[in-house]
Amino acid sequence: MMDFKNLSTSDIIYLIISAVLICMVLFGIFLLSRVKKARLGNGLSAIALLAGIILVLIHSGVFDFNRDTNSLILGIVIIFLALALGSVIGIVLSKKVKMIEMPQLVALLNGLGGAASAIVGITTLALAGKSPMFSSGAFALTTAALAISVGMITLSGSLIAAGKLHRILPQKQIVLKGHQVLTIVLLVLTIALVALSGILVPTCLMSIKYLWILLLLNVVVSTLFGLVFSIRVGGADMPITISLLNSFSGVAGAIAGLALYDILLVAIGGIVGASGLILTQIMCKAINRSLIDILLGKAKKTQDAAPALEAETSEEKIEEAQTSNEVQTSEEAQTSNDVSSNEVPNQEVESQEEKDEFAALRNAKDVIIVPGYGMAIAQAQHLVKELANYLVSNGAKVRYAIHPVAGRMPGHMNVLLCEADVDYEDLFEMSDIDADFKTCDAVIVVGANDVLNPAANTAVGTPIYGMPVLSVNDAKEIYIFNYDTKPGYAGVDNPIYERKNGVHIFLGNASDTLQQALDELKKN
Amino acid sequence: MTEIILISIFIVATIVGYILINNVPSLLHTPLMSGMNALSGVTVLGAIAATAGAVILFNNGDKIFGLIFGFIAIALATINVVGGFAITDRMLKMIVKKKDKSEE
Repeated sequence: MMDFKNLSTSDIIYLIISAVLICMVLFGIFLLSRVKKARLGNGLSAIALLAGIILVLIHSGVFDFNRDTNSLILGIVIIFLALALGSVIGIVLSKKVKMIEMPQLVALLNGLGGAASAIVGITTLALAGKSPMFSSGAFALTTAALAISVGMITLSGSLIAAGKLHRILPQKQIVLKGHQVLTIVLLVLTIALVALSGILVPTCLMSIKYLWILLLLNVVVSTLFGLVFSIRVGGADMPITISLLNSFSGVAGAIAGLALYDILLVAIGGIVGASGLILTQIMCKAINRSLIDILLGKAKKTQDAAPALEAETSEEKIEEAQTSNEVQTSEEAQTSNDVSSNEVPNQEVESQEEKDEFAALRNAKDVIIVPGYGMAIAQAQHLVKELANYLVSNGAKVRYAIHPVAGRMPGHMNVLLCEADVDYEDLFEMSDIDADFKTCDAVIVVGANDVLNPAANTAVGTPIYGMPVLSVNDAKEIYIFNYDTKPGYAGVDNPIYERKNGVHIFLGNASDTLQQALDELKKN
Repeated sequence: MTEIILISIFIVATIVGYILINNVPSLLHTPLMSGMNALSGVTVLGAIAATAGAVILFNNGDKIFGLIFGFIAIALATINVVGGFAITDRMLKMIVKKKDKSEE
């Protein structure tokens, strides 16, 4: 434990180097905001952490050769064995994992980080008061107990999330009887145990010998809380859950740092916590729900909302069909001079559909591709790229519209598409491309539904109402490669499927349907 | 006093991190997340310090739990750190390499 009023020279050196390393990490993150410098930034953060490990090894006396030989060797052996074991597993994991498995891997690693912080908390509590390093003051005891709680919640929550993403566990949300009450009771118990751990011993109400009872209870209760809150999260809320757990794993580290009085841990844990918080906010905004609602499982399909929704949508469908027709006619008038193929009136397109429904795609000069989680499941990103290559060779401009919650983690679609050799400059955020749906020649939807459901703008009272969606419905020609036309995760029918003109739907596994479409396109 | 300084450091780091991270484009959100993930393994520093303390206590006759826990904590956090940074690098390499190609 470091007392800032009474610093030794080695403490001061430790603090200065820590401050430098914290700045290095911050600069690394700054570089991460520039695509070309991002790798350097990541490397810089990694070097800072490596330096931090060496610094701690020296500062905590692992290499203190003045100590007796037994404890010196024991310490070096244990610490380096653990470091080596962790490094080997980490490297193997990072080499083996497929890009498609990234969400569950991130979830799993979050969990491990949380577990490590929890164990640091356990060690600190278990050894409290036994040496100057492990303070038995109220601050250290409370923070150690809190590190255990947050760490265990992160661990159990992440394992459930990873299990769901890896399809070991059911994707659907599981709601227990009295789920909300249970969640709140467990949360209150956790807080109470943390508070008791910090209060009872310093006030001499309990001997430090019995602290382990609180510790064990804390581990059990916070693990249960993590389980209970994460089993209720369904597939499409996963990006938010992962972001939140990411934040938790950082906060757990920071709190463990408070318990050990280590500024490096506190600062870097805080930075990670902030990052997770930002991503969580972005995700929540993207689906127009508050974090609290998601954690408590609110705002899902309710019995009351369902009938209202039906009435709303049927009305809105008519309205929408009208507006989309208006858009189409005005667009046609505008583009008729440029692209001759688009002069074909809609009725004709319909009757021609059987002959060549790909005519619009073949002649398109401006195409937007909208990928979704279905593309990831079908592993269709390479075929998407192939299709794009064909369109480009045909003289088309191909761009990709990425909805913030497409996929199962923030940025999921970007990584998959880049894996398939798509240039990142062709990937556009929703706000940058949304206006272009009106003017593009064709839109290709691959495994996406909720993120382009126009009902989000109109169907009051449904789970997706108010969620910003891609204006795919504004496009003249839409090619949909989805598994089925069932409502997506949000459970709201998508009126685009009902649209009369310019919608071509290919149902089935996107890998198969895209291949067929590609063959068809290349035939002529 | 020390405690207040520590909590202030936590708050300042969080705010500065928040400002910097807000500028990261959504293109890089997955690498950002896995990079932050790797950083959350910073708890390895705490694990090492705690284990070093536990070793001394064990040598003075304390129970072995501290050592076992310390070993597990270091190993888990190292998986987090090493795996996290390696995967982030793999992803960034994949995303950025396209740029070089198109520039050539």
